[in-house]
Amino acid sequence: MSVDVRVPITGDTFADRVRTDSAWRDTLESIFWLSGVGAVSLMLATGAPIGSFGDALTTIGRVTGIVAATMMMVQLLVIARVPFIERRLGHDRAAALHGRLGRIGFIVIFVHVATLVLGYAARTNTGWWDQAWAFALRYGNEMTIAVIGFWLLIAIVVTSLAAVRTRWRYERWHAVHLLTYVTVAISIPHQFVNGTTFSGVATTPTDTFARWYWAALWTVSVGGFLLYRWLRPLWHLMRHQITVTRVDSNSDGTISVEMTGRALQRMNPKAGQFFMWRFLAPGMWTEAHPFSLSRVPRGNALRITVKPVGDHTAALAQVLPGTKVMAEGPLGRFTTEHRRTHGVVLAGAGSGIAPIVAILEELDSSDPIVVFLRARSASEIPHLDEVRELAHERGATLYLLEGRRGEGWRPQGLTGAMTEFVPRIAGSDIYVCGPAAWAEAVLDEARACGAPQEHLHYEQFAW
Amino acid sequence: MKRNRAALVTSVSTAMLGAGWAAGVVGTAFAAQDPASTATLGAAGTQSSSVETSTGASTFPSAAPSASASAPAAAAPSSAPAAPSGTFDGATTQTRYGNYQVEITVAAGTITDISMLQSGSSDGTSRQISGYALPRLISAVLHKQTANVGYVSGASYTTQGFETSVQSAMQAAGLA
Repeated sequence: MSVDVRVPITGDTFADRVRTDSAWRDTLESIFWLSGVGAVSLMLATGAPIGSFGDALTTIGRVTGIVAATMMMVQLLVIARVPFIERRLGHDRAAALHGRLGRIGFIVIFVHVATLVLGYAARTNTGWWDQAWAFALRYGNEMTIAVIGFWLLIAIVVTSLAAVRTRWRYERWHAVHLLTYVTVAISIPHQFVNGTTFSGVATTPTDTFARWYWAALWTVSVGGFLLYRWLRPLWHLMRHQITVTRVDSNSDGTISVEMTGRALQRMNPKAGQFFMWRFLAPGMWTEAHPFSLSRVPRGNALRITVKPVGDHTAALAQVLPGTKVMAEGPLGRFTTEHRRTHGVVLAGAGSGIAPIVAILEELDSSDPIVVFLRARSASEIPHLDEVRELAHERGATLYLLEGRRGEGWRPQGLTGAMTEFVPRIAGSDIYVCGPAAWAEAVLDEARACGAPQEHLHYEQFAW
Repeated sequence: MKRNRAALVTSVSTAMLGAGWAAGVVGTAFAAQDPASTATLGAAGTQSSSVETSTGASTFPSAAPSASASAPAAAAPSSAPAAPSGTFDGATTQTRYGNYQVEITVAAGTITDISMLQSGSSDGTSRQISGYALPRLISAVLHKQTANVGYVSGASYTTQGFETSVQSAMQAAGLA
């Protein structure tokens, strides 16, 4: 009972890639982690008394401040869309890490503020209320703006919680969320002026080193963020001049947008990847949305296929040829580069069908391919003619899962395990793209059929 | 993360934190070894204080009044058996949080006043901690007439800088 039906040959490039990927991921994680440990060590080296209650609270406050700041740095880097991080960590994992660090970070910052207020209050026999005001008003401008940043952060968190409850549009939530970058920015000066480890209050070699160390960490994280999140897209706009050439409303209700640009091969987009697209047209340029390529790039021509589900996506039908486009990417690890085996299962539903079409096009007929497309009816599947033709050319088996939602991944009326459709599922790579609930159901089924976790490829559209 | 890599990162982290902690202990060892460190000055000012302590955070003391008429430290010959009088400057004591230097006024062998020529760094933390600790230390020294009056908890650097400077000023006055 072997799990891997097609055991990779030794020295196989697939297996090598798995090792390289995991090695790089671990290296990244280690660097993030040790950067923070290094800062805490430097803080301990400058003397961290815990003899009295006030001293102990102050030390906790200093540690949590450093930890929170390190988390902010990591957050900036993983959301900066640095190509290396996108390739090795994956866009969705990076975004998930960004969010997780943010939620923990808020608590850490809260502890930082609370322990320092109480610690200083205890050390100087001051009431906590007076101490809080002392920090806000009598510690210099850097502390004042940091305190403002803290209250702004609380306001943002409260607003975001309310936004989740009342289901705000993503754009509105994001506008509020952008304010956290302001809070991060205005928290930096107080670390260098009031942070005892980095303030240069003492000029021992340890203190001087700590100051430079901290400055280097912030330079890398803020610099990386500005470089990749801001300058690079602008540079791409100028260099690649991506322009809409054609907009089609398809019979299934989707909209296809074709674009061309200069030297797009240099961006090296692959089937299954997506870009953050910003159409520079009136009423649209303020929003960037993630859409997958729905076709293998042809020279300088790209195509996306979009299901109109909101104002923005519906407005795409009105975009005129000639419109300039800012594109951030290519993003995501949902590519054949990350294959582990010689068999492939592609499963797509809804707007997740677009990248599946592109991946199918990129595969050749040397390996067995099975395609599942899920929709209420075949008439709602975009590019179905194209898919049929591609499947025929590649000898792929195409299953259309039509009908109303049934149990798990199946439409109503269908029974049986996935192994009945794909006997060798345990030895295949499984690419799943679609609504989260359905995609999870497919992945669960694949796991139940014996597919190991590293064969599963799934990427959520995450911002 | 792979288990062996995680173990490596964990040991490196432990080593770094351990080294940092050790460096911190060595660096602050001087403050901790002071013989008077066991005594702690009461936070509520249990000394019968003749010095009006500032009420917590409401005001930070400005740096000490400048010594307008400081007598040269050599004013009183230490060999003289008669009780010394005059003002005497202590040595400047360097601490992590700035320099401390006192000027003591002595009348017939008794310290009657202490003013600060240098009272630590000017950053907010140092000002608040010193602003709290120094009045307590001053009143304790005036009360006990010795440099070793114990520690103000949470202000070990201030205490160390202050007491060392008082000690040297008392030596200059021939009191110690």
